[in-house]
Amino acid sequence: MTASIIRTIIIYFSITVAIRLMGKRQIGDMQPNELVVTLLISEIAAIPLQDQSRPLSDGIMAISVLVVLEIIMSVITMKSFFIRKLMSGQSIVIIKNGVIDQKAMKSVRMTVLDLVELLRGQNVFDISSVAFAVLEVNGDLSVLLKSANQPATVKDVTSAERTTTLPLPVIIDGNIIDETLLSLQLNRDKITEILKQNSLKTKQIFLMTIDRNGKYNIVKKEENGK
Amino acid sequence: MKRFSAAIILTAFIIISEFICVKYINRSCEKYIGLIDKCKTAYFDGENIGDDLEEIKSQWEKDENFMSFFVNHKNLSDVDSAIKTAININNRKHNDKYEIALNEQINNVTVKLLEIKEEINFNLKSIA
Repeated sequence: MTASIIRTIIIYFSITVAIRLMGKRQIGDMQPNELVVTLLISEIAAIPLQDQSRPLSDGIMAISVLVVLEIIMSVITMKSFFIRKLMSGQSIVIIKNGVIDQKAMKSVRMTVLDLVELLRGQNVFDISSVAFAVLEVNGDLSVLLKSANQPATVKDVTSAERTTTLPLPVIIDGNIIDETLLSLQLNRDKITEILKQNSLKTKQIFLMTIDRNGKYNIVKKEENGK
Repeated sequence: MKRFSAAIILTAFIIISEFICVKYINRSCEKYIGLIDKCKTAYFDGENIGDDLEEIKSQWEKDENFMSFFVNHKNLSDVDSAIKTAININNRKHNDKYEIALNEQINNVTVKLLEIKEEINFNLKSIA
């Protein structure tokens, strides 16, 4: 009985340290690989607790290996866009200008009922009022309403015209995303030109987004990773 | 960077622990297999192995505690009970029937120790 209590305490602290090392994320925000690691940790931790004949090191070692794997994968996915796409998938546009992209819905195996439910969760009850709806990799739906359906701000009242376009990332962590350029009908020269105007190089950019109106936003990389 | 450093430290901990664990278990098993072999030779030479078995038992009880961090406790208990059974049989009156049983128990200890060694060492069977 005492041994069982001590074993439970050791496993409890081991898992707490493991989860702490992996970083803070809500279950709903987890990437697929993070979810797998979390499920595996809970299963592995239960084995030495249920079976007293199993040495504690079996569980602790397995948990440690999973934590190391998770940290290494998170570093790799942070550095490589290709690996990130491979491991976590990528967000997909489901609604464009009030029109549902049925092909995109089929590719993510989403039913109309699922879509309507997610839209209702965002207080959207009319699909035609949506400018863009993007299904994120964690399963959330991000919705951008058409200008006419967006709540007015002081800026809107003072400006004569307002158009809604979706800003898309064209540079992530110093890498140009060709797929985005293609969908925006832009090329690398245009991006280089914008960067030149700002006296910047591609490698210096942490995130650069451009919308269809050519409006861009640049977030520079911080020096020395700080 | 902090998380990456933690991963490096954790990796070092895993590798060192695994190395120490495998080395310690192998060395311990080899030690007891050697002692049991000595006992067997002495037994076939007609010597009384009661004291040798008691010595093995007392050493095993000390080592078993540390081994239990890495080895399945059931396997350790099997070795423990095989040693104790061998001592019990040896303490009884000697005749052919007891000799066969004692020989069997001594062999049993060796087999169990070899099983522990096989379980702890890296091989294709353990992965599959």
